[in-house]
Amino acid sequence: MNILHRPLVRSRRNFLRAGMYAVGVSAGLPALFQQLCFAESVRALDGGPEKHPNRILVVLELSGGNDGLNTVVPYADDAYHQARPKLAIRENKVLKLDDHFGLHPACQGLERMFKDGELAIVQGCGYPNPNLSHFTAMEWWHTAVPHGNDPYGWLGRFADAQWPQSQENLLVNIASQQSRAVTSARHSPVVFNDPKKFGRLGTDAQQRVFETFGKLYPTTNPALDFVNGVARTATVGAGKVRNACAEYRTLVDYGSDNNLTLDLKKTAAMIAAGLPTRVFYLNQGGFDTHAAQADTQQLLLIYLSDALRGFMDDLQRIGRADDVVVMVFTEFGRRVRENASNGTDHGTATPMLVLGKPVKGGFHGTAPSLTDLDDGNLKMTTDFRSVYGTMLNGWMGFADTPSVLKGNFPSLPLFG
Amino acid sequence: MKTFGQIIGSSAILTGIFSLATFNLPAGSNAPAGWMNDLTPITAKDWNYDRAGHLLERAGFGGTPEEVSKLAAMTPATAVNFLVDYETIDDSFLPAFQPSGIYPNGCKLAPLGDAVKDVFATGKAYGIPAAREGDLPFQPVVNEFYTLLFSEHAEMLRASQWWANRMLITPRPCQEKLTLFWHGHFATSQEKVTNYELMLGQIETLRQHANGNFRELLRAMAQDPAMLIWLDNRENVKGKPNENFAREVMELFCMGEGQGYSETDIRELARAFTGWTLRPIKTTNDAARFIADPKLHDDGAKTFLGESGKFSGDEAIEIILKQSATPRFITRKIYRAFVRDELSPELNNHFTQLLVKSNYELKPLLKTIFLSRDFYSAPSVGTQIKAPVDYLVSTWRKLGLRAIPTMPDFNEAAGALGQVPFYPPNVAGWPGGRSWINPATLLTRGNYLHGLLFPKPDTFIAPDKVVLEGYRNIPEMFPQYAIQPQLWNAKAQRMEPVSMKDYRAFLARLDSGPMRAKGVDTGPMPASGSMTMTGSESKSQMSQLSDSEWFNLAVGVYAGFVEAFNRVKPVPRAPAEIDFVAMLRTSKAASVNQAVDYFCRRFLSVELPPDRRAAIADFLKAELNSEQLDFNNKQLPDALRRTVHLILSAPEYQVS
Repeated sequence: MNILHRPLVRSRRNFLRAGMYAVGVSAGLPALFQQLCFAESVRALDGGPEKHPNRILVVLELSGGNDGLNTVVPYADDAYHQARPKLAIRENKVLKLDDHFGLHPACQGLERMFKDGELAIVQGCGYPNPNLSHFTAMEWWHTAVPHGNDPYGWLGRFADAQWPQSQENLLVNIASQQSRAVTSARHSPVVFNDPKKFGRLGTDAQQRVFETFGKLYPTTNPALDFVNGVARTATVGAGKVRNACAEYRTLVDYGSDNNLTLDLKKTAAMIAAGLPTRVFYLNQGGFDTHAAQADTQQLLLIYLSDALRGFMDDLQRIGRADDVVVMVFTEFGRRVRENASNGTDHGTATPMLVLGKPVKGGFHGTAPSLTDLDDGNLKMTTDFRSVYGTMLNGWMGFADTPSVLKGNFPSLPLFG
Repeated sequence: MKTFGQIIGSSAILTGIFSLATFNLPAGSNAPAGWMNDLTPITAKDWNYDRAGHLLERAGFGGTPEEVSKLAAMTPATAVNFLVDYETIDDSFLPAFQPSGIYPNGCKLAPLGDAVKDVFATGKAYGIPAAREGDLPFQPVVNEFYTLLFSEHAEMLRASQWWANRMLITPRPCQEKLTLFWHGHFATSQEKVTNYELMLGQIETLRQHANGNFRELLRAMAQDPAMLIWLDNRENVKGKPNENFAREVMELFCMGEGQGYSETDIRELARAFTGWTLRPIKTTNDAARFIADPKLHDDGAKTFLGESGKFSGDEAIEIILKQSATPRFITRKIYRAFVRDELSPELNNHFTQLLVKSNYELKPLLKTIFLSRDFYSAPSVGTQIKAPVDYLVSTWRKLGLRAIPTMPDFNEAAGALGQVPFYPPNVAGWPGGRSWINPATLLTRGNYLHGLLFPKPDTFIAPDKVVLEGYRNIPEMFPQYAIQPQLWNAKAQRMEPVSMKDYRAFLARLDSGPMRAKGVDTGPMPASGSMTMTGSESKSQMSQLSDSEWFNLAVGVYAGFVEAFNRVKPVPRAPAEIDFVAMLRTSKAASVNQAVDYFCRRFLSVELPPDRRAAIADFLKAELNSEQLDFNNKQLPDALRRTVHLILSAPEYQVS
């Protein structure tokens, strides 16, 4: 199924492109959407000094610690095959990207994006003195403050600095629990999982009363003003999210139905519907492959790769491919040496992926050595905050990244 | 069993003070502007129902009109003393936590790697025998590991529900409110401790010191077994210091980040705490107790916060308490929790001196705060976002419930709203304030009330007895191990094997039902997390041993899951008993408008804006097809439930 997948979608997208002109208006498709959505995002900004008011950042978290070495495979390195006699991806299976690295065979979608120059792979991402606990490591990636405490997430702090006025639907977190990454002092992220349930239970007559909760009124009580603002987001925004997701139709193939596929479709739906969302935060779980890694990771990478490729095709279809960039990270990679149960244990440095039409594809940073290790783990070569900073500065056009990231981290040439 | 309401008020009191004619603005809105930052105690002349309601809201969990009226009938000083000097109130009727008995083999959770060593040394682990060869010889040990792991969390959630019930029924609401506050301050999570007895023990210690002396409280926490596990001080030994506790004791517990200490001070403090550990260091077999082991203590000279000496942990704590940053930090934290976010430097100075002068006794500080005009000034009233546990407990209290409603489930609601007791997100505690409210949690609050006011016992799925998402496919994934799918039989109160067909039908119902399965664990493969949780090094030792010849991980997870279901007592399920018609009869309300005013006043700390109030009144009129209340109207009970659901879903109900 997966092998047939690529050519099919390619042709389907062409078909859609051609078909758009014929059915565009009646199907409620791109041209109209674009106008609506640009109008709304510009209005939301109140003419602020933003450099790129249409740009959107999608952050995808792979939780559990994805095995970077079996995702971006150093197939030409003997040390890799020696450390992983059972798990190493054989050279004849690897999707070769150059004469040293290739992708896991499940990553056909990513391979195509790499060859189209739309996938950047940043090697060896991490931070000094890494922590191997899921909980702590993930918290540090969320706050971008390793070895510290911060109540707000890096994306929340970015939003606070970039948009000091509270705005509706600015940050969307598709999850049942809000991620610390989007926790913000000024903004109320839209957090939901099932758009159908993102609403109030009650009779129709009650729903009419609930509508009045969306109307703002002035008070002298800051806490109440805040809750009223959230209530407005919930009343107006939840309806928009519900409608956007309910009405969204796409023929683009995102691969098999799984949580990530569904979340990326919701994201595309909200972008297509012209919500003023500038940051989407998504999550794919299950990467903690201590045992029987090969099957589990293969399945997860098929999901990941197919869904991301489908998402990119869908963005192209709705005319927003130039405005959206996806960043993919995981809280740590895994140990170089495989363990005795055909799995891998918690490790350290790992590649990050940045993809989208605007991205300058290819390899960035330096791949860590597989022989010069730190207690069996890779030594990081790129601080992940460099990638974060590049997303904020290079992509979103936000200048003061040191204040958000609490330090200076060199930018990477990920954008033209 | 006596409730707070029964102790402070009998039924005769309310109608006089709490009548519909006296509908007022909220307590703060008619306070003189000059009251802000004024610590003058308020006088009996200024004391009224609304201010008593504000006091009960903040120093406790709010209450019924009867309870508020009783406080309003006292003088302000008597009312504050009544709440803060709670030792005199008999609470011996409060039920103790009833353990399920999750350690039938006499052994507690220990890292699986240790268990394996035990098997090789003694032929058993976790109190059960295990073979060293043959077909899946380690399977019983792995099964028991997961059984203990899941049981720990399930039992902790039972304890969490027990505590929430205590918050509801205690005649000492201020004690539980303070205990909850200190739990957020010395935030320790079962996620890592994985020993519910130690977690409950820590809460009991917090409760004992809740209004006592901060010095005693701090000492008790520094030697608390759960804390020693949580912040790794049990592994802080001479020559190999672990700085985790030392850092947090200054940054989060006493002084505040960047308040006059350096990284060197942290290292020196860690040395002072070396040797404060547990016996036994692992929690197998025996309850862990604090010991100060002289052999593990670094008795060398230290320089800490400008002083030099061979400091012990106790002496170091005294040095921390001498820093002016400490009372400044603690009073700010208390003020922000009980009054409002902004604390003026002048007030902070005053409270700091007060705490120092009282030698860290908390009562003088608490009483000064609760009696002050500042506490009743406009910026202090109705200006706090209710924390989820506050929100839930105060809702039950205002509804006049006598027992915790178990339908919907407390922990599930608290989890969806972001605050499960015993599970703070990290050592900094719950961030609180605005972080409690986002669109999803706001809607979830309203939808919780929908579940509370319109329970559906026939289709209710108890979240503590449901197959977790990640484990559902295991029977199908491993047919070779002849795993039977299991379902909870509510009538028989136990797990029963079912046919695959029934099992699939059940799962389909769950997916389409009102709730998705949720549980204590977050994923299908908790092995690595659990290894970290139980304090072993982060690399999984188990995975080095895990091999199809030794044991099967998925089978272990599933077996542990089912066995934990059987081991942990089920939560008896009952919807809340609520009678809004009776409330209205007592209130003497006759019209729809009076009914709406009554409920607004009973539940809200701030007024609804006119259009929302009007929309709600119009709703009730339309439901009843009348402007008057007809107590014989069969539609009345449901119409009132819907009306209250609307009022409690309003943004105004989220603040107090």
